[in-house]
Amino acid sequence: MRVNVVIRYIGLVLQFVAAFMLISAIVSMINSHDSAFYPLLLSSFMTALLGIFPLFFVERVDEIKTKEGYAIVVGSWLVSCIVGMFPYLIWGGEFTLVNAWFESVSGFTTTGASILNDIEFLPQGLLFWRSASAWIGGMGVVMFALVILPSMGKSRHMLSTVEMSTIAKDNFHYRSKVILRLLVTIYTGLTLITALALKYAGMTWFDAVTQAMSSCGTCGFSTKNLSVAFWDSQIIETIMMVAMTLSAIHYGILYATITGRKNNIFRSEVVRTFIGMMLVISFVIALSLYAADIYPTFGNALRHASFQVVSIATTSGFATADTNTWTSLAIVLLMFCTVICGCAGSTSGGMKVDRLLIASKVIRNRMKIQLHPNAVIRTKMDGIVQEESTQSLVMTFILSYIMLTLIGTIIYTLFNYDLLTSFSASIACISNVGPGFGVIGSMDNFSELPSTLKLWSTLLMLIGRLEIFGFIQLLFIRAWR
Amino acid sequence: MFKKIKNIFTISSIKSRTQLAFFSIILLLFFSGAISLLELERVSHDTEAILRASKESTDLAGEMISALNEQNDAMISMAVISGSIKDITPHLSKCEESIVRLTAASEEAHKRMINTDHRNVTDSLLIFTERVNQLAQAYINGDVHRAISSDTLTRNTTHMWYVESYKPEYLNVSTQITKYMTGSETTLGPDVNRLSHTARRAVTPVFISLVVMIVVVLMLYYFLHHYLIKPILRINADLGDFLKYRTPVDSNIACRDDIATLRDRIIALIQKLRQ
Repeated sequence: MRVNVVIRYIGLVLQFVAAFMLISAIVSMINSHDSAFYPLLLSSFMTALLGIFPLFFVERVDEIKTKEGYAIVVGSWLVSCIVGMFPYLIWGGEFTLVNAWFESVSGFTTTGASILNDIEFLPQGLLFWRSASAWIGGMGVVMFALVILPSMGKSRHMLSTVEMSTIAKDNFHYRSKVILRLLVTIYTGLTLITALALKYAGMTWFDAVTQAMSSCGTCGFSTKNLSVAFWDSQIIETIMMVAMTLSAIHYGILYATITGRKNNIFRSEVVRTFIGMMLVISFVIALSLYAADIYPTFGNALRHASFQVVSIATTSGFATADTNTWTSLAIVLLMFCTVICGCAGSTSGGMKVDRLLIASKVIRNRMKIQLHPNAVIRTKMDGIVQEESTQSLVMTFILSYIMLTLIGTIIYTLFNYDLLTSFSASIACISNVGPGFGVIGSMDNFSELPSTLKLWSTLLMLIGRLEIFGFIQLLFIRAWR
Repeated sequence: MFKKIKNIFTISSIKSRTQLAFFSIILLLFFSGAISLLELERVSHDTEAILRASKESTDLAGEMISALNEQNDAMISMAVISGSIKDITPHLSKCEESIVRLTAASEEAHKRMINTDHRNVTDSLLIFTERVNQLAQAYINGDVHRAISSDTLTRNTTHMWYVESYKPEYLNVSTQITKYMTGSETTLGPDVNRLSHTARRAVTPVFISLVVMIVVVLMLYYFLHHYLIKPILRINADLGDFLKYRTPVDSNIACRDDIATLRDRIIALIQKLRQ
């Protein structure tokens, strides 16, 4: 593996991150030079320097090997998270070394979990940087860099292949360069439209832009301590629900829908399952909340239930209600949403509906084969036959996901946390959802957790964001040579 | 503009690359140093402000205590100790002066705390000060002037008045002054927090810059080793082999810029020698 090549491309990604820090510094400057200006400016400068340095020495290469691709993608995520904590660390306040790392990882992995007790105390520049990190993370730091930064050449293809989830790639029927442009265009367009709609619904420009970035990145970082509950507006909640849902759908399918192609939202089995699942769960939760007298009217129960379901199923994690006070049925169903999450090829994390669908079909076919041993039954999704290798990969992923969740839960319980907190924290981190239940409920945060658990949570977030195997590859770095 | 930026990355001299690398390290040092200096300036400014505020409130409390004690001493002298009208007269002006001083100081203290959470402390202080001053003034206007005009002292009644009326009010004011002192120090809390915040901001950039610089220096070492030292060593070894055993110099040694030119020239020279 050529280490210098890996460093060069990580450097390119860092330049991109530095550009966003600079934008945040400009936001800070506009906001009468708030206290985040110098931290952001200095961080931007240091990140740019770290990124630009390898470019002085390492020449551009046209071909990148698979191992190098993995190293670049995983390295870019890790290094982005490291430089992402510079502004927090320099600014100070609640940000100790561990807290800054937690907030940075939570942003880049679009988890949206926070250690901040008073979000509104942060200056606007820093709040913007929080949302920006979530927005960059939503699309994938490398993806963005691939489209925006020049001089990537043929290496673009290799890096996009490594960055994108295996299932997501299958749904794209375009060339690599087109895919990347398409993804970023839809993502940016969706964010702009959401920001405009939120402004129109009554938010300030600052809140509208940051909430739009957070919604489209399916992160859940808010600028208010009460999250979306602060605005208490049905229009704002509806706009954000639409933005979150669209961001959790495969971007290729969104593009197909916009351009009037065949494989659109309405025809996609995965999207239908995803939206259908959210509708049914919202309705059942609303019924359970209304029956338990938690909300006075069914309409009110449905409003909060649907927002929480969409927020969690899309791995965003915004809140309009304290879900800890909800019924057991509601909690279990929300946990189910935490596990399943959005569709492949979107900004959401987690297991993804695609995998759930394939897995359920594999199980159904297995049962059919037991009844008819000689039958030849193929597993299809959206009319496409799924290869044995894909099925095996899906099952391996699900198994690894379950194992990691269990290990995660055990680690949390070692610190004397109750089972609900431990289990929900473990899934919420791996699935990049953010809030869980118990101590880390929708209206609470991770600040109470000891530093060791905060670090463990960030590890789970990174593993989840890199779809487990991407991160595990790092452990076998010795075999890369 | 873009061409110029692009040219930076298309430099083909190891000298320029190394210069650029060192220049960026210097820039990083300068930038982090400048920001630290700026933040330290703020720390110094904030510290000065806090110390000034603390000193002013201590001085004010001191002034109040001094005025109150002076008034109390005068009252004791006039109402309790004095045996004749002659003894009262020197304390009279002292007492009147202390009333003015106490009123001024308590009003100043009230003004300072008006926008803080401890406003109620100075509100009470102002009320109790007014009461003690009114008592003292009433005593001067009544008993003292009467005694001066009639030239006789009624020791028993004034002594009782001091113990029952004046002393409790005096104690109330001194308690309020103590509360004011504590309160005024507490109001500096946010400033002290801000100070520690700014102090941290002055130190952290240097620490992070140091980490970044270590990374940059490590990268510089790696790149210099990879693009400069390693190829030179290989060319040197190949050249030695050529001189000893006449083996050819490897033309595929990975190098760039001036080192690549050096390699090519050596190969050309060897070819010329062979011809």
